[in-house]
Amino acid sequence: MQNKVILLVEDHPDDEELTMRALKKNNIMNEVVVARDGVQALEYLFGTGAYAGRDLSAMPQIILLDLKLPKIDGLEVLRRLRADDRTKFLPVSLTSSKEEQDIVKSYQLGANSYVRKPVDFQEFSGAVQNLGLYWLILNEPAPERVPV
Amino acid sequence: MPSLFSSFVDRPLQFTNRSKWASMLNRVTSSSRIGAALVKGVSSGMELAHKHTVLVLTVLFGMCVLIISVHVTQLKTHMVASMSLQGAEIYTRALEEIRKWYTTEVVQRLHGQGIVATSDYQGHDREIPLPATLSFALGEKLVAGRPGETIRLISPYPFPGRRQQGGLTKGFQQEAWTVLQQSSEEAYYRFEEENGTKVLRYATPDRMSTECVECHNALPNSPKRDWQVGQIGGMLEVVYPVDNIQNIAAVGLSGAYGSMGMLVVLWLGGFGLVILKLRRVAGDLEEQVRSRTSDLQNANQQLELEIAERQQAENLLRQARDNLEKRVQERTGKLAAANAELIREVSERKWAEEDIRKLNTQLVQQTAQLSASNKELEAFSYSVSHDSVRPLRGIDGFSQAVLEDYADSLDEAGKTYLQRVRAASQRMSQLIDAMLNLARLTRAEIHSQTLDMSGMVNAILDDFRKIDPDRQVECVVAKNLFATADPQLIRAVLENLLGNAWKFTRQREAARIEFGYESYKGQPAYFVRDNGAGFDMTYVHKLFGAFQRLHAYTEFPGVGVGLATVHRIIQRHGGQIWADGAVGEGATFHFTL
Repeated sequence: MQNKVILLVEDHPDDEELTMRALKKNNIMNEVVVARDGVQALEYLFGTGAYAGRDLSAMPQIILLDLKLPKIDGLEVLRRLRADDRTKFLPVSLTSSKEEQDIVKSYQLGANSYVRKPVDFQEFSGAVQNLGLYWLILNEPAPERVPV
Repeated sequence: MPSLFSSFVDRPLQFTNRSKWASMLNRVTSSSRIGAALVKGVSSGMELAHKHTVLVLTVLFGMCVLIISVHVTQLKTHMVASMSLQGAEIYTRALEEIRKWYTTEVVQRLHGQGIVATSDYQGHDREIPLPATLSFALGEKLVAGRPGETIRLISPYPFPGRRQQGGLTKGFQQEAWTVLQQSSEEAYYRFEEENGTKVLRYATPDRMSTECVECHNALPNSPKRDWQVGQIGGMLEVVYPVDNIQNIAAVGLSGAYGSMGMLVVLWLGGFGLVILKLRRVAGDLEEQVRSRTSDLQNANQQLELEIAERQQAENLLRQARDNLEKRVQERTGKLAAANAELIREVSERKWAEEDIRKLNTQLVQQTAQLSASNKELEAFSYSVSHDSVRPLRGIDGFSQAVLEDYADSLDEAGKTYLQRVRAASQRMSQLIDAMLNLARLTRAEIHSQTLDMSGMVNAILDDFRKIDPDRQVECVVAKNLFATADPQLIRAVLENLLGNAWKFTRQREAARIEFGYESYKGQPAYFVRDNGAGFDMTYVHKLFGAFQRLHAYTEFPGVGVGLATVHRIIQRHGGQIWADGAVGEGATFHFTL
C-alpha cells in the first residue's frame, strides 16, 4: 500500500495542509506527490521538466486534481491525461466547490469522481477518507500496459 | 409699312373687278330667273295634270280628234283636186298624142297623094278632117254620156265654121290664154262653181309644129297665115266635174269617220274602265293609306308614350346619376380623408419603425451588455464559489486542528471561542451557497412542462417528515393540482415555501400546513398556508428582498435568501407572489405561474 503514490495537485498551501492532515487522520500513509499547478502535474506524469527521467512505470494510484489551478487549470490537465495512452486510465478525482457546470464538464472529459471540498473540516475529512478507501483499496486499477 | 398697306387698299382695279362681277352675277341671276319661271311652269302643269288627270286627258284627246278631223278634211280636198287634175291630164295627153300621131302618120302621107285635110271634110271626096277637127270630134265622143265633162280645142283664131264654138270666152279661157302666152307653163287650171256644181277647168297650150304651120299658113280658110313653129295656136280645155270624186271621197271619209268614232268610243270605254279601275285602286290605296295613317297615328301615340316614359326614365337615371355622383364625391372625400389618415399612419408607422429600429439597436446593445455582464457575473460567481470558500475552509479546518491537537493548552472558553469561529465560518459558507444558488436560478433557462403540483408538495412534505420524524404536522394538500412550469425551479419554490411553513410552525402544538388553489384578490392562485409564527404586515415589502430576515436567527435560523429565490423564480415564470399574515397567526403565500 505504501508504494501506491497519491498525486495531489493543489496550488494553495492551506488546502494542501488540510488534505495532508485529513489523509493522516484517516491513516492513509501513501506517498503524496504535490504539484502546485497544472504544468508541474503534467511534468510529473509525463517525466518532463523538473521530473525528467522519472520512472514512468510508477504512475499514481489516484490523482486529486484541484479544478482551479494557475497556468493550466484542472480540466485542461484532465483533457491531456485522457488524450495520452500512458495516462488514459489513471483514476482522477476532481476536487472543487459545488458548481454544476464544472461537474458536468469534468465527467465529459473523463473524470472518475468529483469531490466537493466542504468548509466543515470534519465533512472534508470524511470525504478524503471515502476517497482513499475506494481508490486506494477497493478499486482495481487498469493494467499498466494496455494492449491496443 | 402702313403707307404700303393703304396704297394697296385704294387700288381702283379692285372696284372694276367688283363691277364686272356684279354684272355677271346679274346675268346669271336673270337666266336663273327664266329657268326658275320655266321650272315653276312645268311644275305647276305637272301639279295640274296630277290634280285633274281625267280633264286634261279628255282635253288632249279632243284636241287630237280635232287635229285628225282637220287633217282628214284637208286630205280629202287635196285628194279630190289631185284626182280631178289627173283625169283632166289623161284626157289632154290622150287627145294630144292622138292628134300628133294623126298629123304625122295620116295627114302628111295622104297630103302627097292629093288628099287634103279640111274642117269641112264631110260630103267631100278626097278630103279628110283636120287634126283640130279630129280633136273636137274625139273630145265630143269621149265625154259623151258623162254629164258635165267637156273637152274642146279653143283659139282666138277660130276657123270660120267654128266661130261660135272655138272662140275664147271671157273669164277662165281669157285668163288661161294670157297666163300661158306670158309664161312657159304647160298647164293652167282653176276650180269653179258652174251651174251649182264644182268643176275643174284645165287648160294646156297647143303649140304649132312644122306640119301645123305649113298647113295653116297654106289653107285658104285659115283665119291666120303667119304662123311660126312653136307659137301657141290654141288651148285644149278640159272641164272636169269634181262632184263625183268628191262623193266617192265623202263615202270613204264617212267610213273613216265611222271607224274613228268607233275607235273613240272604244278608247273612251277603255279609258273609263281604266279610270274606274284606277279609282278603285285609288280607293283601296286611300283605304290602305287611311289604315296605315291610323296605324301610324297609333304607333306615333305609342312612340310619344314611349318617349314620355323614356324621358321619365331618363330623369330617373339623371337623378340616380346625380345621386351617384354625389355619393362618389362623398366617398372620394372620405377616401381622401382615409388616404390622408393612412398616409399619416404610414408616416407614424415609419417613425414607429424607426423607433423600433432604434430600440432594437439599443436592445441588441443592451443584450450584448447584459450578456457581457452575465458572463462577468458568472465569472464572479465562479470565483466566489471557489475562492471565497477556501479561506473559510482554512479557518474551519485549522480551528478544528487547534481543537484536536492543542486541546490541553486551551481552557473551556478558548475551546468555545474556537467552536464559534468554526460555526461562523460554516454559516458564512451557507450564506455563500445560498447566494450562489440565487444567482444560478437567475441565469437558469426555463424548461416548462406539465407538473403534478399536488404530488410534488406531498413528496417534499414526506422528505421533511423523514428528516424531522418527531414533528407532528397536519398537512392538507389539495388533490390534482397541475401547472405548466420548470419542474426543478418550481420544486425549489415549493421546498422554500413549505420549508418556511415547516420551520415557522415548529413552536405550534397543532401545526398545520395547507397547499391549494383559490382566488386571491380576484385572481386564482396557488397558496401555501401555515399557522406558524406569521409576520408583521408592516414589513411585508421586505419579505422578498435578499438577505432580509424578519425573525431572530436564534429563534428561526436562516440566511434570508429563500423568499428572494422564490420571488425570482415566480417572476421568471411570468407569475406573481403575494404574502398575507399576522404575527402569531401564521402566514399565507399566494402565487400564480
